[in-house]
Order: sequence, then C-alpha cells, then structure tokens
Amino acid sequence: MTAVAARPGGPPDVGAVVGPLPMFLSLQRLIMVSGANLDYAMPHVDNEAARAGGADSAYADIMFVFTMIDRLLLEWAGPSAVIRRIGPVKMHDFVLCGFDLSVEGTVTAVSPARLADGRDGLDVEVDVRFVQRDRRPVTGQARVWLPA
Amino acid sequence: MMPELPGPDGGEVVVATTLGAEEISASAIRRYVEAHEMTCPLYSDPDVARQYGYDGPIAPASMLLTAAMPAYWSPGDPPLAPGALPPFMWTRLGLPGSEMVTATVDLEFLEPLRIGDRIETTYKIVRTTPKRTRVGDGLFVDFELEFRRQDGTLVALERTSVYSYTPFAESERPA
Repeated sequence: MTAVAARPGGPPDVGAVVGPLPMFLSLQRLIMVSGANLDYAMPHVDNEAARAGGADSAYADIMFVFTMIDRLLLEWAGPSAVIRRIGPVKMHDFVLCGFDLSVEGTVTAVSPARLADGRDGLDVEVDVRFVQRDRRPVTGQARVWLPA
Repeated sequence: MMPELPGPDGGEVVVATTLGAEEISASAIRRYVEAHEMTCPLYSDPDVARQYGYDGPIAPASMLLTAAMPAYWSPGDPPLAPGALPPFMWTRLGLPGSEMVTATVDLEFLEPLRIGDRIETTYKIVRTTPKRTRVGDGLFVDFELEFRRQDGTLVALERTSVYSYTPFAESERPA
C-alpha cells in the first residue's frame, strides 16, 4: 500500500481532495488483517467460502473498511489530528480481494471546534468512497479535528 | 429471553454487555499496524506520542472493535464450531428472522485507546421498524453501543442499523 500524501498547510478548503490511498487488495493482505483484527469469518480469508455466499472472491470485513478510512484521514492530516467520527458508513457491495482498490475523500465542511480537553481547532467533515473497478462498494462520512 | 423491544417511535432497552477478550497491548497494536500498513507514529513512537499530548503510544481509533471483541473460546467452553463468526452480539440476541445484514455503521471516538485499556461494551436497542424489502420480511433494528474502559470512562459510541429478516421463498419473491 502506498502512503497518503500529507495535506498542505493551513485550513483545508471545502472541496479539497483527501488521498487517494491506493492498494492492490491481495488475499494474503486479508489473511494478515484477519490475524490482526480477530475477524476469522471464512468469507474474509477463503475464496471458496466467499463464492458460496455470492461474492466473486474473499472480501474485506467492516473493521478493515474503518481502518482504511482511519489511515486515509490521519496520513493526510498528520499526527496532531484527532479522528472524531467515522460514519455513517454504508456497505453497498463487497470489497473484493484480487483487485486494485482506492480509498478517497473530499472535504465537505470546515468549522471551529473545541476538544473535550480544551484545545481549539477545526472540525473537518469528509465524504469518503471506496473505488474498485467500476464500483463504489463503500461510501460514508468522517470527521477529523485539526489543531488551530 | 429477549425483553420487549422499542418500536418505530424509539426507546432504550439494554440487551447485552460484553467484555473484550484482553487488554490492549503493544504487541496487538504492532500486529494491527503491520497488517494495515499504518504509518502514523502515534502507534509506535513514545516520544512522538508524548509530543502530541498522549501518555505513550496509543492504538488506532479503528482498532476499537477488535479491542472490544470477546473471546471466541475460553477453557470450559465446548469446541468452536467450524465457520464460527466473530463473537459480537448481533447474531446472538434471538432477533426474528434467519438472516441479517448491516445497513449502516457509525463510530464516534471520545477518548484515545491506551495500552492497558480493557473495553466493556453495552448493547442497547433504541428502535425497531418492521419492513418488507426485496429480500424478505423483517425488522430494521437500530442499536446504540457504549464502549467503556476499565475506569468507567466512555471512550466511544457506535450507532448501527441491521436488517434481520426471513428470506422470501423463491415463489414469494417480488417480481
């Protein structure tokens, strides 16, 4: 997987592009992910089990989806940022192994916000989409806080 | 036995409480970061983590559901059946219908996940809405989950909607 380009300095503009986070989603990657996130459901690690359920190949679980959104936001925003919300996320279709995958976002709103610990900054709302072949199997929103 | 659930107008019924199988550990974070190729230094570099106001390395926010997952099997349990699903409560509540799909998931993060934290989850059903869809007759069930660490601090909230349904027989399927 290639790292996400860090955002330029200053407050982001509405319409700014976040990412992309491109990758080839291999079966080996899904097996590594299963071992780390503890989702051992067979359709996530076995092509035959996935095909028995109607998918074309083994497919990613919801925790992988959330984690790729986490990566997209923090690699773009940097370690001073705080992920406040991921969601609502809608799964429209399977995120399949054996194909390229791109996770992308667009800034939709920027507003002043204060964290519970009193730090002031900006809440940045991002529309997120997973793109695979000609499909968008996942869409959703997320919010990340940036320091002032 | 399942308590009476709130209907379309909403309410709140606690249906389950679970405990994560283990504390968040540096090794679990390392495996998670490796598998997902996460480059953020907050997960591994104590100096960087302290520079940004944390006591030490933290877990990725998205690792919440892994940290909250109960054990698949513990000593004294019967053997794990082949094809076992992750031990989240969605499929263990006796909701009506034989099938279940997740419609939306929404996670709100309130506190960082720290090494040593153990996550307890409270499952609440806040709304149910009967609906016939193209796949069957069933119930949309709206959950709210509270995730707390061992000192009682609320660290995250989840709002999830699932559709629990009985598939149409082939002859009943809408055209």
